[in-house]
Amino acid sequence: MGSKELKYIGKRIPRVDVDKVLGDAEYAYDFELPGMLWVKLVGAPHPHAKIIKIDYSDALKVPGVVRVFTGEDFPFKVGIYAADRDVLAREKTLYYGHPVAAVVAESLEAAEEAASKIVVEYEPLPYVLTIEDALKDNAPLVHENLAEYKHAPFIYPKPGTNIAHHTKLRKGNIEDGFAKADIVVENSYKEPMISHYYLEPWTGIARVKKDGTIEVWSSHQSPFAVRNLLALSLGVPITKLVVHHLRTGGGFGGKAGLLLEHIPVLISMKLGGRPVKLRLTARENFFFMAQRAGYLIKMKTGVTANGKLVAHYGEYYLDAGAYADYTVNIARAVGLTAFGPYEIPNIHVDSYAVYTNKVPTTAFRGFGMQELFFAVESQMDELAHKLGMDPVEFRLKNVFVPGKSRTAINELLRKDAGAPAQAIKEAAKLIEWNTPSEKPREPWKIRAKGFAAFWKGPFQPPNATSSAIVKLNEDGGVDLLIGTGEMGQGTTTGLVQIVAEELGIPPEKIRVAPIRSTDMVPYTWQTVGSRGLFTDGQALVNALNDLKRKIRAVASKIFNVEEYEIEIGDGKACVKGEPEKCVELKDLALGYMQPTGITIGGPLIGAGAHVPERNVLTHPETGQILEEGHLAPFYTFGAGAVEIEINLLTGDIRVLKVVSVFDTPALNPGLAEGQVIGGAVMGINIALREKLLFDVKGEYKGLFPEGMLLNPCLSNYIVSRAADVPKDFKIKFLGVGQSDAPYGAKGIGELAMLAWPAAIANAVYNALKIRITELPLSPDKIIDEIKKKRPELLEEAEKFLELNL
Amino acid sequence: MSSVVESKGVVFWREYFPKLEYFKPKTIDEALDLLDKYGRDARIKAGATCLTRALRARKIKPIPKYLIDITSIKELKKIEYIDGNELIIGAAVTHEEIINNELIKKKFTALWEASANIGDIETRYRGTIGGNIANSSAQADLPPALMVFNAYVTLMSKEGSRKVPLTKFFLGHKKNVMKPNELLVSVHVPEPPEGAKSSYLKFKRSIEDRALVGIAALVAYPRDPSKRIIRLAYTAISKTPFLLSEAEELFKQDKPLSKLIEEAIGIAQSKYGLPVGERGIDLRAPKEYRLHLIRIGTKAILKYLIEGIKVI
Amino acid sequence: MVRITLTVNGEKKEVDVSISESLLHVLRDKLHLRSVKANCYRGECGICTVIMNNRLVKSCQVLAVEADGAEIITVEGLTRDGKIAPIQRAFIEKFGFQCGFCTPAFVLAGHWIVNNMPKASEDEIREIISGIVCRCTGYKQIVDAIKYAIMLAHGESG
Repeated sequence: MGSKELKYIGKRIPRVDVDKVLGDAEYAYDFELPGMLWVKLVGAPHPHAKIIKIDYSDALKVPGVVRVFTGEDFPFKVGIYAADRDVLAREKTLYYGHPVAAVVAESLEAAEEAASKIVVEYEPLPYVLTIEDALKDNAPLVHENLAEYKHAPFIYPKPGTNIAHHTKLRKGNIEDGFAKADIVVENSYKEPMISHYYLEPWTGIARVKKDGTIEVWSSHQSPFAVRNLLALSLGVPITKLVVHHLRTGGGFGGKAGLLLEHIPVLISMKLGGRPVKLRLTARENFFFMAQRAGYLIKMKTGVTANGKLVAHYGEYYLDAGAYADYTVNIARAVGLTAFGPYEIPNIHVDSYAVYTNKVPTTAFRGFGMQELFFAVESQMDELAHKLGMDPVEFRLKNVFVPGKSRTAINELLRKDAGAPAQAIKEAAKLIEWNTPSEKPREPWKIRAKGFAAFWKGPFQPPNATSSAIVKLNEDGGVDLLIGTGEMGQGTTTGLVQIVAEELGIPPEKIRVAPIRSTDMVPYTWQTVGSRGLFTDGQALVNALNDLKRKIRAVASKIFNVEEYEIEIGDGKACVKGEPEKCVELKDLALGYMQPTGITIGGPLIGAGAHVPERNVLTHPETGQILEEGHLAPFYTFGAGAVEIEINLLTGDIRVLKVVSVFDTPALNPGLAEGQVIGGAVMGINIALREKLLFDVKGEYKGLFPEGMLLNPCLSNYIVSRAADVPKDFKIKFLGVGQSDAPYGAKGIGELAMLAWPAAIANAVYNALKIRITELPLSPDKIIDEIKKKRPELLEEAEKFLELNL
Repeated sequence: MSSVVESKGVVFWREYFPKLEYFKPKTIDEALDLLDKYGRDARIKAGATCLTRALRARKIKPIPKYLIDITSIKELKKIEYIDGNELIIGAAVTHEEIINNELIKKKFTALWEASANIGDIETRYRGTIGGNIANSSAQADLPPALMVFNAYVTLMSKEGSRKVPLTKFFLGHKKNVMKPNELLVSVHVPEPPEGAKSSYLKFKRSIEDRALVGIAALVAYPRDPSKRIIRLAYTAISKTPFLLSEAEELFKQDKPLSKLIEEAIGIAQSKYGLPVGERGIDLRAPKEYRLHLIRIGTKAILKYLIEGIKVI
Repeated sequence: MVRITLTVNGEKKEVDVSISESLLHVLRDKLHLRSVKANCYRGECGICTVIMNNRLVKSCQVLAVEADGAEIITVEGLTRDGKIAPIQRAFIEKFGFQCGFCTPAFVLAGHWIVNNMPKASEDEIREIISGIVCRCTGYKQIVDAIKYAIMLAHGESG
């Protein structure tokens, strides 16, 4: 790396997974084995009920049915950070849809038919559907035996309550902080549970070989996490577990960690090792897979009259549903982040994950940060307005200064941590912040701009490591072995570009296997947190350096020079300054044969690893770092801005312009723009439309089963279409790299999502002078708020509907 | 809360249809023979855009045993215009065929706009006018657009045929007056009054959403109370789409038009009622918002038809 | 079981199908055309879209038995003699895909637009592909790819 011109890095190199366009990309959805059995899951019709009896005698009569399993067949719990999940419901069901039985048959059609014949006797129990109800003193408990559950050391459940986890953050002195504050803003923000709605519904296939080897093919993000968690959950040795990563049809956090893999594995074990497949449809995916938590964020923030943040108090509650999965760690992440990219000396935050009798929840692109920043960045605008200060200027006044600022956990940001202020300034420039929006041609509409900043690093344990292997082939090409998952984000292509650049060979000569098996590729912790390119990329750079060392060793012997005199590029190793003294890499790949036949070197393989630099743990009581170091190996900083148009008659919000700025360089603008646009469209849709509906007030008793998720399909859970979304994107990468990042590049996949709910809510405020603190910003909510707070706006708009006669 | 209840386990979705017997008659008579023979056990299939979903959900009870595919019956695929009299559309005519018909676009604009507003290109290619009506969804787009023309349908059975005005056709969400042995063969749209213009306005959350509120209107001679004809019809706000039958008389009154519009809105809003949709409720928007859309939408569609100005 | 005849990607095929199957099952499970994907089986997501009788249809909504005699095109049929179709080249060059699960449907929709509506405006393209859901791309690069494919196939003038 250095000053010479880059050939592949920073260029629009086409994606390497072109099989997706050619039609033969293979997903778990497609994967089949001879003699494979099919599983169909049966859900519970009550949000909370004792299981008295499960009668599946009629199901067994359906031709082709092999067995029916119930919870009692698998008497143990599984989980990621806390083992709170039954394989199939045992003793009681915890939410409407909770799987109570698994039908296994020779065909999917037979399994479907048999599943419809299962009858269950229940004794309904009182249930809780909201955070508020779950926290009441005498609330029904979702997990009575919480004290007995195994959990990670940094997870703090409260037995005897519905609290799955509690994170505390204490920095400075909160009373002193507020005493210094001249202005205090206090708000309560609410965000509903939402769904990832990735396009490949979860699928898993398992087979147990006679020697005990368990093989799994499934739709997941992180093959090694699946292997690790399966081994822990089932008590089987890693040596006997192989997880195959195929193409994954979208994840967005919803396929992080262990999913339902244990179901086909356990069934295969019980059925003599026959291959077993469980493939969900979209509707089943809403009930059997985890969704994103709902949020209740209470915060109080104090600022001095000259605009310096001095105190922040927060109570953050995550509605975790029946199983908390990653949500406990997300509660930790939002608690430790506490606020946006701004320095505050005094902070007091309590963050909770709370069990309710609803669908389970897990990670979602952004790991809680989009949800937190909706509150934080709304709060920032409110504070700025109260101060009479421009919101952008107010942010610049408080934003982190790398090398100087300390975060909420008291981490000193490294000098090359990024360019938060520059990103804010650039986004303001691109949206033309100081130029008011044009008046729309249709006078019943109103336009305004909104702004939000963000930051995020991967929330991973300090020992989340990665590794990579490169093998030089006899045609001078390279096999690249990596363990990171490819779910569309494009990391694989970025890594191929790094190999191409470092060795000077075209991407067409680099192969990354589409199927990555845990016994064939080197370890990486997980494919989450926008960490892939950074951590796997560094492991890869180290592997390439290892390979280059070996190339130099051979080449130096050929030309009888010192190793440092060899330079590698354009697929060749040459003696510096002597262009005629070159050997092609292909001739070195498997061992170099000298004129006399004596062969030196050997098959050349480079291996490399990445260990996060000085990542440290935090104190359980204060959330402060245990020694000087970092919570994450990098943070990406950025800012987003929108211009919106509100139809005052219908309440519809249209996003006209999207500005998205990141401090990091982009290794491949085509890929990076794809992440940024895709993230923006997803974030905007979450801001405007997405909400999983539950009858929390009991309004629809008798119409729907109690506690049911009411909109588990695309006709009622709206995901935007091509004609619904913004077309005008201004995207900028500032190119400010971190010194140890591969070509400076930090992750952006999640960051692309973070600004939008806040930016749009701020734009709504700027247009209407109405602060909305609950998502989604749906048309009915906008109209309702206008009617309550600015009826004159609607009256004015309605005048255009009057007849002129 | 300790009584034991017995429940069927929930199967959330199925990929496979029930095993039915499939018939593809070539003539109306063949279809009627089959219907007569199988009655309640039979189900008509046209574009199957809704039917495939209902079959997978095992929602139609009892589960049908026979499926009669009418898409090969040539007589049902015709669009016929009897000049100055009426437009006759065969039940198996697709939305796409309606959209491609210039005469319908010009003369029966509300029907054209409603068809163009249905679902997506795939649905419009397969879905049929007969299916949209016979399916009898409380949120269907075509019924209000047809009602403002006083359209009626012809139902046939082995016993004979009968004509039913659309306003008398629907009995509730997915319920209508058809007998098990009857086939909806054609939709008749009478010639609109001289000088009439029509339109359909659909509020939705996404381009391919169903209607939150759908409003069809027909207007002729708005400025002349003696000749004035204003008809309004609505979908997605009650258990069936309906023609605001009071409106036509109301608008004959010699009062300021804007006053009359306010009155019509009041009547339309008073018709808002449950149940809407299959579970007896439509959760996609709250009542207050739908009442608001009735108000805004009624004003907007009439402003457009009377003054040619599109607001919204 | 009923025997039906389909012309799939230019080849005549006879298949025995059950009334309980949709065209989607026949294409995937009986003719092994695995490019055809599915998600909702409700006609909502559109990712099972194929070209049938030169129209875009959602294959989960077509009963296998009713497809008798139909002409079907799937992504497998776009590559001829090892040469990929302009729409495929365009998707690759314009980054028109990410996770890839919806991609075959969009490639076919794009192919159909290239062949049938080469003068389509951006808004028209967006309307036509709105029956298909993509959760990764935000659609812009898909639309760019389709516009580029029109250019590749018909030249600048489109």
